[in-house]
Amino acid sequence: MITYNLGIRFSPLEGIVRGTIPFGTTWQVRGESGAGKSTLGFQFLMQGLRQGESAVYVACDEPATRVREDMNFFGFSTEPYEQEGKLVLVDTYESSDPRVLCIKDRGDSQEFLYILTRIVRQMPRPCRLILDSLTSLSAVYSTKAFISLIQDKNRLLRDPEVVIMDIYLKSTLEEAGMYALTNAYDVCLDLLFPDEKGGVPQRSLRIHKLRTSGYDPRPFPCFIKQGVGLVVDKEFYVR
Amino acid sequence: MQQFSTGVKGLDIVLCGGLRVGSSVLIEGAPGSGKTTLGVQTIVEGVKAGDPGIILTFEQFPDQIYRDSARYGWDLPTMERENKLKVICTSPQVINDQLLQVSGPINQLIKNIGAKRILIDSFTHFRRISMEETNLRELMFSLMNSLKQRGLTVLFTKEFSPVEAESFEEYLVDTIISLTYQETPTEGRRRLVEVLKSRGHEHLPGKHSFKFSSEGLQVFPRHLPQIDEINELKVLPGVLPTGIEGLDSLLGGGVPNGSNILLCGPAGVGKTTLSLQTIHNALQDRSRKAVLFLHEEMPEYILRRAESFGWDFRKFIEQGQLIIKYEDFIQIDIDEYLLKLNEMMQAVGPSLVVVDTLPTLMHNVSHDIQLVAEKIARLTRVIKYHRCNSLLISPSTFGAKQIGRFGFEESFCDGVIILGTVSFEDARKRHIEVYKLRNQKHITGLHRMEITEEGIRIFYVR
Repeated sequence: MITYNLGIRFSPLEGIVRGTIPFGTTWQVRGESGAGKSTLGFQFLMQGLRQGESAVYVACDEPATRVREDMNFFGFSTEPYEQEGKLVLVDTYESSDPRVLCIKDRGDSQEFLYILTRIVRQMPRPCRLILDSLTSLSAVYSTKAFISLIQDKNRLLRDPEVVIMDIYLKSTLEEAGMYALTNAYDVCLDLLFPDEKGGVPQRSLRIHKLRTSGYDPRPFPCFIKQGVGLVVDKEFYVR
Repeated sequence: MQQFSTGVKGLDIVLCGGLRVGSSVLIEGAPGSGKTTLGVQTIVEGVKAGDPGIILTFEQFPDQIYRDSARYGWDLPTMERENKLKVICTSPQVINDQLLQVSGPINQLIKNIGAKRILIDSFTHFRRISMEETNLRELMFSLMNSLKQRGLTVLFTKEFSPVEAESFEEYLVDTIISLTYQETPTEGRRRLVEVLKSRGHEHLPGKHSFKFSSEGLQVFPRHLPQIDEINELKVLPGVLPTGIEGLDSLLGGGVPNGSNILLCGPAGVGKTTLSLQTIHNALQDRSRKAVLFLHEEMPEYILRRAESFGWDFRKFIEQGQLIIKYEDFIQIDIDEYLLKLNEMMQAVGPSLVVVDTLPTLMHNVSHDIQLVAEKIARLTRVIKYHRCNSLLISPSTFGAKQIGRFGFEESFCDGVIILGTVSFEDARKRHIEVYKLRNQKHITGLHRMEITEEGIRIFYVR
């Protein structure tokens, strides 16, 4: 019998979080354009796949086939996992690739939830689900309908062996709306551009909220490394 | 009290067992309404049952009666040769004179063949003897009594006169059977029979439709006592799953057993497809049977439509699991339909009946909304009596506020499923709603649905 360690392994948070974050949690990743949100999503996905978990990647901003190319370019080869049935790419436009599943009308909340739920329920466990990004999805809903959609999604997909990562542009909704959305998540991560040093944007990662364990709330500088993803400077405050 | 069969099955039901032995019966109606046929059929039935009979006719020669009777398979000449029947063409005057003589030829004939039934076709001809009502009444009274005293059941035919509100004949006889040939606003005609009186026994009131079949008259009672007089049927446990994942979730597991479900929505929205898919899924269980009544689309088109989704209905037909009955709605007599439905359900014992569509089934009575209500109530009752589920398709008029075509059919059903569409930018999207479902918790509200290559898909997840 196979038993899984239900703690989620995710290297950018190691050393910042005390203890582990379990499956069954919902994650929100917010940040400005170019801050590394999608890279963080790819990294989250690949680290799961490399440990034998499964993953679903919902591409809302660009065609899923393009996302596959981006990941390959970055050094993450998705093909073996797709062939093995461990990774499913979902397109929210139309797709001619038979391996890519499709939600034809993302503006139709019932269709979106139905297809997404069906896909995730069929995946091997444990499973990581990444939705990148919900910002483009929010554009076709009113604030109220969008918040309701996210809450319904998280309720329907909540499973002790599934972790959900939703990626947002920082200013997706007005402040009150974003605040309401935060309640739908157990983990909130911010990717920031707080300082300009020598004209080069200095990225940092901050845990904004974590329900399941203790954490360091300060922003930690990070950088993107080809083939790895986000590398966080955990010694920043020790030095 | 002894009763005998008229040989007209449905009429025996209307007469609550048949005619009373030794009674006098008046069969009245307009020309061509079927009076003589009914009279002859009752005599022939008597011969078959061992009760010899006599037919006295004042307007037709025996040959004509032989020829007309042969159409229904009644071989009168043979019956005459076997001394079980006598067909006599005579005049009212002769009958009047002879019946009053105890040893006259008619009385001798009655004695010789042991006649138990006599048909006098028609009493209207006695008006040739006298125009006086008092004389005619006296004449009929003595004629009737002299025959009844000999133990005969007397059948008189009489031409219906529209100017004559009521006549003395109606007071003298024990039973009155009235036949009419009514014009309908749908450019058709309905033959109707009504028992106006039946001394000494019950009858089902009201008009019942009938037709001339290859075996004589066939009457279709407007209600069936065995079904309509039962006031309590226990609610059945369990459900019949539609097999359509999202729909079963909305329904709380499936259609509660013994339910009539009204399926509404505009043309092209997927009502028939949903029904076919439910049939296909239900019949995966080899112990189940289904009956599909079609009144619009021909069976071949429906079979092809099922095939396009990968559902092999021909296999179900071969396995005896599925019966498809097509009946052109213009030809439908709803009372006949209901009687046959009852017989079929008795014989087949289906788990599911689909009627496609309810308005076409009701076409010939659609001019009278009360009649439609009565017939829909009876339809649902027959299905419920046989502990069966049904899907009754009632297309709604696009944009109309009422649910089904008639606007009241939902009251007679245990559940209502509404299919609809909404316009969305440049496309129309389908949705489904469980509007009503008795005896079961269900999910309300509009839910998106699509018709895919595999059938109906409903975007509902729990």
